[in-house]
Amino acid sequence: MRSRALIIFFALFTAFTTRADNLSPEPAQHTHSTLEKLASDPQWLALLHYQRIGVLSSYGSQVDDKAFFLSPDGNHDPLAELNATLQALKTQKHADSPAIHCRFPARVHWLRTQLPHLKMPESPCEDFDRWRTKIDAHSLTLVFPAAYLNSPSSMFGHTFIRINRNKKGNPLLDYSVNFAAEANPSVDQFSYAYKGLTGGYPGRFSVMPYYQKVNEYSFLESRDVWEYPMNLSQAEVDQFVRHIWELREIDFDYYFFSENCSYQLLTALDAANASWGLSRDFRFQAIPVDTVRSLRERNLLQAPQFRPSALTRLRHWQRELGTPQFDRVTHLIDPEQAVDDLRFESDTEQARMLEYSYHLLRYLAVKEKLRAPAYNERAVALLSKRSKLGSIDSFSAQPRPTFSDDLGHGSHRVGIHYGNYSNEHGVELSLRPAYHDLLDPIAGFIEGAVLEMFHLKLRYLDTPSELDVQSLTLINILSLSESDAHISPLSWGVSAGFERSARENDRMLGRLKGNIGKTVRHGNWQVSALWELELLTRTHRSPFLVAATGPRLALIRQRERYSFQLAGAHLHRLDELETRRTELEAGLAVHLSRSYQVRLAFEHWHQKNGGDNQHDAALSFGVNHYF
Amino acid sequence: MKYLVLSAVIASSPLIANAAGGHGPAGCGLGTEVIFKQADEWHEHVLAATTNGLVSGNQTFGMTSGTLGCESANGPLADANLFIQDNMEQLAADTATGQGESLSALAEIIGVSEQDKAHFQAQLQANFDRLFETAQAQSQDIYQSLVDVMRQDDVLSKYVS
Repeated sequence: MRSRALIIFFALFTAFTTRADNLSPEPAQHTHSTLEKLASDPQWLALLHYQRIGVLSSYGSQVDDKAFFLSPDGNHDPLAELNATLQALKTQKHADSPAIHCRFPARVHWLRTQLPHLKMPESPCEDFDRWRTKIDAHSLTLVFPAAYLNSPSSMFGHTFIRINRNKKGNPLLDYSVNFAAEANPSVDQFSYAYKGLTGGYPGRFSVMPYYQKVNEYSFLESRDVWEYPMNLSQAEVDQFVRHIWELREIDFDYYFFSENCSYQLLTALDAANASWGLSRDFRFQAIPVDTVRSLRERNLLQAPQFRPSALTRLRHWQRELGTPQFDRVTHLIDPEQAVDDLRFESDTEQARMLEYSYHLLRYLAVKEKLRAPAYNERAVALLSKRSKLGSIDSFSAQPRPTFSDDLGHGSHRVGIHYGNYSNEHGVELSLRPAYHDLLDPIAGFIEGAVLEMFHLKLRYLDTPSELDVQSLTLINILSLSESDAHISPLSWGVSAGFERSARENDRMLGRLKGNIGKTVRHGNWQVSALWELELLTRTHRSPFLVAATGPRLALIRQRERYSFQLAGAHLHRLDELETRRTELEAGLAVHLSRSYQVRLAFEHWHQKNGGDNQHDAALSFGVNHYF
Repeated sequence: MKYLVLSAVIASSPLIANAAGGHGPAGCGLGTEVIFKQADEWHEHVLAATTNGLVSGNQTFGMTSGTLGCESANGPLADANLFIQDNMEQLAADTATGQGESLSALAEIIGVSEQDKAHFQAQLQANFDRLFETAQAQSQDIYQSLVDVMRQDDVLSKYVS
């Protein structure tokens, strides 16, 4: 009853005050030139999301949603939108529809700073005020869940913002602002992938408790998270929050490479203060870590805090447990074994084993959906036993990695290499817009992870003296996740592109390659055993499609100062089993700084086809520059 | 209703969500159906490519009232109920060790003062079996047990009166 009375009161109050506005004298008429100047102000344009993207697109708002504009021409005519906004402020009539200063509080707030005599409606904004009070914004934190290779949609990482409350409480209870593609679950998965690239999804901002994001990243996806406190004034924070409100339920087009999560976060920050010009740097592609760097270069970020993923924490605990304990873990996580069977030297040891085993079960339950129900009872039994031990500090705190992801090498790479290619001297130029291979500096990246896109190699040989495309790799992903006694993720790789092959008279071949296998760690070495399938297409002779398959072994060492890789493969052609090829490649890279490395590479292959032998080798030395 | 399961994935995966009734009490629609989050095989991920963190659902703007999105007609304890529902696994783990970020957050929602916090955490740890009786414990049961445990404690009873 009481709340209904309140609503009626507010309705009457709103109706009354809006009527009062209409009766008040008109605000001073703004001259046309003032308005034109205002409409072209970078801040006004940023509030309307006017951005240039790509080369050809005309200047206009990236928001296509009509609900975001008052004028029908609002998304390409900033002056029309300004006039419509001022007009709406003047003539606001409907007590039941959201008043303009409640629907677009950031725009109206900014206009007030520019036009001090602007007459404002005095009606309260119930929904907005309640929402803003709940968010209770004091400061912002940029949250960066690191690259996650096992999900190509997140392989470059992701960024979102946490709004820290005034009340210094538990960060889990703060709200977070996230931009993501929003899809209709009834659409099939292939359409998802296609639409993600071509802009077929609406992207939307969402606001949800930070604990939901932590559950998602730390436990479901097992991604490490960096949290960068931001240097914003209270006024900027408030304006950011007002603008986020303007963006609720507004559809953006989502593009995986350009207008993605990280990019739209920058446009939202620009709306709070256009002088940062954050989004200008990312007209063609926005790799999340690059947007973090861009913010850091403008002094908007403080040193980050580290939130380890479930897997990172398990690995840390493993090191503290030591290897011999692993058998006991096997016992503890086995639902068939009694929890009480084991004897422990101390309560601390028992607490450690129980906690580790529980978290291992929880991690496995995410990975092995079908067995999860069997793990459940066991998990509760382990926790119950742990609770009887009382307060014990079992494991040491997670050490923070030396390098946060933004301190890693630049996303773009150019290289120049001199070498002997098939007994000819030549120079090779390498251009790679993204992102990381096994020999690139490891600081800030995940061991055993490769992600390359649009890698072009050009070769200039002495004879014939001409520049030729040697290869174009469209995509190359390799995820060598380490296995141990209990956690055994799959190692896998996919690559696709074009390559000139000496075996085929230097013709250009299409190449698709897949790998699947396991990786283990031995000290600082990673050892991978993979099965490889290679498909080659050729246009100059039949068969058009040539398939070969066989084992591949790789030995990898990635250290702060250098990286080393040795790999070998032995492939049989599927249509001519007597045709076999052995490949060997070795590489050593020495990291001179964050932006430079020198690299020595050797490649050799040998093909046997009955009595017919072919072989070829290349040895090269060069410099790579990252930016 | 949500059960205490090892992973929220289980509760929200399409196969089981139907049986379990999807998300919790109506009106507390904080949970977003997150598509592909349960993808754990690499090929599922390849298919999910390019769609970074798909969410759908209409309550994704923190719009509902109450601290955490639920009508908090009954004060902070109603928020506690919702928090338990969304953080059951982590709360179970924290309760077993008597410390942790989620357990702290729960104490904050309930309004436990700094000086009572250690006692609150120790009491919950001591009553682990009562709170998380079985793997089938529902969030509502856990919440009710929590209220009972606090009510029977001299120090904590003031927070649930």
